[in-house]
Amino acid sequence: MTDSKQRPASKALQALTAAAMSLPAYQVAAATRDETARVSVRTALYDEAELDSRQVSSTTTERYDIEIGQLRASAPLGERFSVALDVAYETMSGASPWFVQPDADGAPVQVMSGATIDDARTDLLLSVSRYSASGRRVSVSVGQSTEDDYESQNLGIEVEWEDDDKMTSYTVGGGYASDTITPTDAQTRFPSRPDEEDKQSLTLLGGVSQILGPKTVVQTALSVSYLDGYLSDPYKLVFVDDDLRQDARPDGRWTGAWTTRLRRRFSSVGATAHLDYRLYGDDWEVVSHTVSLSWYQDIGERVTVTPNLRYYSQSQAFFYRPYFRTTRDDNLYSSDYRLSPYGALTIGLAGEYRFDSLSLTGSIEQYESSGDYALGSVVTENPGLVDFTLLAVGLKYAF
Amino acid sequence: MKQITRLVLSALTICLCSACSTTPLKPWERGHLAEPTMSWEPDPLASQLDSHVYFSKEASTGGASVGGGGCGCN
Amino acid sequence: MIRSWLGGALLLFPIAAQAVEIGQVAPETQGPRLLYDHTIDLKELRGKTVLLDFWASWCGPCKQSLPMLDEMRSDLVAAGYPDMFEIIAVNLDEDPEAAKKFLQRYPVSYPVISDPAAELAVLYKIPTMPTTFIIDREGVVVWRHEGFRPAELSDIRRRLVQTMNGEATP
Repeated sequence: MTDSKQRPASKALQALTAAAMSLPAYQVAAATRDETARVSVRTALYDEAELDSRQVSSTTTERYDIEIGQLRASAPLGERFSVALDVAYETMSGASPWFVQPDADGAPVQVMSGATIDDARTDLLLSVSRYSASGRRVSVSVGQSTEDDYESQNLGIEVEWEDDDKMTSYTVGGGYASDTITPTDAQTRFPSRPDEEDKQSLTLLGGVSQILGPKTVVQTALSVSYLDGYLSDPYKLVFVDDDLRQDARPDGRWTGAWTTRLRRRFSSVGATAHLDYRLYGDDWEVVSHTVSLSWYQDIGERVTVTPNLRYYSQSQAFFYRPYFRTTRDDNLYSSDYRLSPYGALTIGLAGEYRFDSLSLTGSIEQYESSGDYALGSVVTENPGLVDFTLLAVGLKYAF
Repeated sequence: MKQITRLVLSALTICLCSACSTTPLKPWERGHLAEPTMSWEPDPLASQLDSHVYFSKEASTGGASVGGGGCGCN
Repeated sequence: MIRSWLGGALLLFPIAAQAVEIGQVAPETQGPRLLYDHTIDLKELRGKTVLLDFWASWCGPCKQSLPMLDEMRSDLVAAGYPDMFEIIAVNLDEDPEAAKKFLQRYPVSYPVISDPAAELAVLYKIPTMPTTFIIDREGVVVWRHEGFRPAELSDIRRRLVQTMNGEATP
């Protein structure tokens, strides 16, 4: 507009600028504290579609149903701190894919776990952030996830700071997680199942956010992880040369993910577009692409409706086959659909209705995976690929 | 599908490169950026659950922030 | 309409072309008053100490600063400074409707003027949101404060009282 030249500040002014500089709400150049205390609760229903009975060789075609309750509370604390607590509680029941075997024609057929699995998971995450006068944020988080047969503890630290012109901000972070798995029925019904295993993971992250204009902001981040320990699935078997073996994966895994996110406001139509892309690769030779697009459309003062679309495609791990005709020299085997080549599409719709301090939220998502959706051509689709519906309703309160 | 990926990649590259030449915004020009829907994750609970589900059902992990743990999800 | 009126008003005063520095006489500062149907002119407040506060409805700290400044104002009026000062808030929302909604939720007893085209903001070289100026009885800008944290209110109040008592110099 005018006067972009900065005159040397007077002494009085220099002393002043050393004092706090606060910036507007949210993550504008993200190192800004949310001055509002908030509480949100949400309940969700995750329902996996039945498998195609032609591809299943067991009595049950039912899969997992999960009921989830979530709570998040966040508040500014004192002059410089903020604290957030996330709690999730899930109860799961159903059957899960056990192993894949060939039928008379050699086509892969899924065998499901016989008994219904019932489990519950509690997840806690506490994070504390400190915002400094220079616009730097340091966040530390501790978390724990507990199931009957699984225990995970994690630690994270993240530092974010911004340029003088408040157009660019930088994030670096690190995370550590330590998990222990104690499979049920090990060595009784299933002698080959291990009775206790553990794994550790270390993640390093670096990212840059850049404001591109009054209505556009972009972020790009690179994260690298190393997982070490027992990385197999103790509940899965693999059909190898007419024999059943335990799922066996390497005991180390390097992963890398490059994520880019774009936010753009279309103020004339009262909408915001979100475009996210992630490129993922690991030393198990899995490469994946994830693209998601959301359109937040304001309808009047109180309502926002958000249709969203997500596309995902991955290649297979090097030790994956639907089943194995011959043994492998490295003794690594998995028929887990998660390591198979496929693509998936999520179509979703979310809505929010705002009263003064209270909002109601609701969403529905439909996930469908298939070999046909993959970027590359898939010769044999894993019969255990999952389709699910996720329904959720929630309440948000701002104090 | 390959073409779509390439298109998205090049669009993002252009966005990133143009970032180098932006002029600083005035403090009063940041109103649109402060819109709640402009945040990276407007609904943290929804994002958390989504990423947990995708993490348990797909081979890929990792994103733009640190935190959260594993699960024995079947 | 508001925008063109304000632009016209400012154009009448050539002094407005220069940005404000501490120690300078505050330029002609006027604008249509939000919520009420008349205008405010800084010149009419000569002889009073003025606290000029630039804010916007989307600014996080402003949710605290406006109510707290309002409370401070009531306090000072009760403490015997009724006609010695005034607070004028300058709202920088592009859409004044957003500011009106904010003021319905966080009502203040002092006047708020609207500057949707940010002409006053440019004039006063606002470095961050909110920014607060103290202008003495002669119309000289004696102090500038950037941002707002609740703990800084006592400092703002001290500066304002000093200025009213004629103890503050640029």
